[in-house]
Amino acid sequence: MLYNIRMFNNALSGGQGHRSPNLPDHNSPIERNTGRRYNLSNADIGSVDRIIPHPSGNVRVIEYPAPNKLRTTMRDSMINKKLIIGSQIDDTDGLQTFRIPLSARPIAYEASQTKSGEYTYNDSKMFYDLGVLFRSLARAAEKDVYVVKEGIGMLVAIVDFTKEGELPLGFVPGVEKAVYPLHTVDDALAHYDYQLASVFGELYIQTKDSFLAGFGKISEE
Amino acid sequence: MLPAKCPDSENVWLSNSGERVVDEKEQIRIQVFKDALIRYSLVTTIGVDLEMDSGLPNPPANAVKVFNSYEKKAPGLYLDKSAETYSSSKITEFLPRVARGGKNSAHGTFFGDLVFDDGQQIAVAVKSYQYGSNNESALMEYFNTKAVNKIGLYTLQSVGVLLSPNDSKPAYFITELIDSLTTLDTINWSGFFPNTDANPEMVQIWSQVARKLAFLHSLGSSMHCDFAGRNIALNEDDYVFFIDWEKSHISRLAARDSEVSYNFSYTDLAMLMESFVHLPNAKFKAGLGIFCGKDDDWWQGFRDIFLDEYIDTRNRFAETNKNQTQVTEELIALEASLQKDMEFARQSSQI
Repeated sequence: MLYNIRMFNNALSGGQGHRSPNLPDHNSPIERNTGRRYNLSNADIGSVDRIIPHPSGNVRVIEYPAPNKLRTTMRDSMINKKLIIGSQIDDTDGLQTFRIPLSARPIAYEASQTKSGEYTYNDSKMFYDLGVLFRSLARAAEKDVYVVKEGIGMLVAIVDFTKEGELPLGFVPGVEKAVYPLHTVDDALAHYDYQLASVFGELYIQTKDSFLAGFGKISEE
Repeated sequence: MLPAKCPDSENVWLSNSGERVVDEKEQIRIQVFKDALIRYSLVTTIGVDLEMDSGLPNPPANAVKVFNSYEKKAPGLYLDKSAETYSSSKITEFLPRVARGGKNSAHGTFFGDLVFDDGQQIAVAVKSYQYGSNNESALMEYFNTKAVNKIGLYTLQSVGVLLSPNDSKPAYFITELIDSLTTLDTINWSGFFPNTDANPEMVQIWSQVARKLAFLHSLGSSMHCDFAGRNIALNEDDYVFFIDWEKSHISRLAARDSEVSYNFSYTDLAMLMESFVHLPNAKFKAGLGIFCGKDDDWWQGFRDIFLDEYIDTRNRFAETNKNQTQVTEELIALEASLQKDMEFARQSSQI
């Protein structure tokens, strides 16, 4: 199975290796960490974002230590609601492995995009989708209102060049480790308002209405 | 509802007051492309070879002439020879993709998948030409892009061109699309300068830009000619490459003297400097905004981030090419010109 990947240190190749018979020899070329512009590794979660060369094209994976049972349940709920990018391909030895799109990149470094068009993912659409995403997470559990704590710039990813039916925005695998409960939806909104202003500054202030529309739309349903 | 269509052009529309306006609506541009694909769906292969070592001053321009004389039979879809490996003889559909990056081109580039009648698909970027000499422009970009690959600089692979029957209809240049492509204008650079040491990966991006541009300028007489941040791309390995070669001049023939080579290098570097200085959302010549609102020394910043490494690389190539005298003359003049430009830009920003 191509995606049955278990990483381990491979001294011979001088870096990370793998044991899958369906992936190329360790020594040429070796897996590597994804470049900084795209990298979704997160030290707080313990996740690593890596590119694995393969004759059929590069495969990009995020790996992180398995969360506890409660957070695993939370993650499964988020996966069912299609809030997390990529798909889980391995779950062995306490290591979670997700394959994610090559074009996924953190929202933290995004410059403004104000062009309009049916096929242009501009700031308004991005912040609207962020609102929908955060509101969906808030409603993921029956009792509490869940939010992503600090560092949302690296916990939400844009997927560029999406085909019809694909999600252009979603949480990064491992996000369940950065989720915690608040009392009310208004608390969640205040939390994100502060977080987004910290990450995006003026850009968020200019497109706040789109975010609120996305966040509010779900509550009306 | 769409406005009334101008009878003599597929993408020019009549406003309520009857004025001719070029409609920038993306879906209309894409629909016009789809219509043209259906009309000209049969694929012809481009057979012209670029002769980079022929001693001609502009091999891509020569290739366009050869193509027009011997290969172009009618308006239609002409694909690169390499595309044969994954194509059948007919394209049936174009499926657009949603993108955030690559949208700041004046040409209104769009992205999607070309579907062949055997079911195979190619992910492509499509750039339209509609402001005159449409077919010539599309062909120039096609052969320029091929030339860039031939001189050893990585860029996107040409897939082909869709040529129009006349200049009232757009022509198209089609390149492969790699999913993990992002351009420098998608990055928020506002926090980069002056704390460049805190962002070593960003410094490394500019180091690559400097070395690759120096390579281009050291090779015969070559220039990009639209060297803005939106035309500098990154992949998932933070590997830098340049795109959009429509206006470029690519030739292995050595520049006659330092004045000629200065014209090549100054054109690109002056444009890059504008990208450092201009605001990202400026209506005229939008930039990356690296220096905007910063009180620090812009000229020293430009030197530290980009220019010193560019000059160093040019000098090292000059040693190899044994044209140090010419390159030294060029670089002295280049530095003086850029410094003046930067001082002017700085003063203008304070008004």
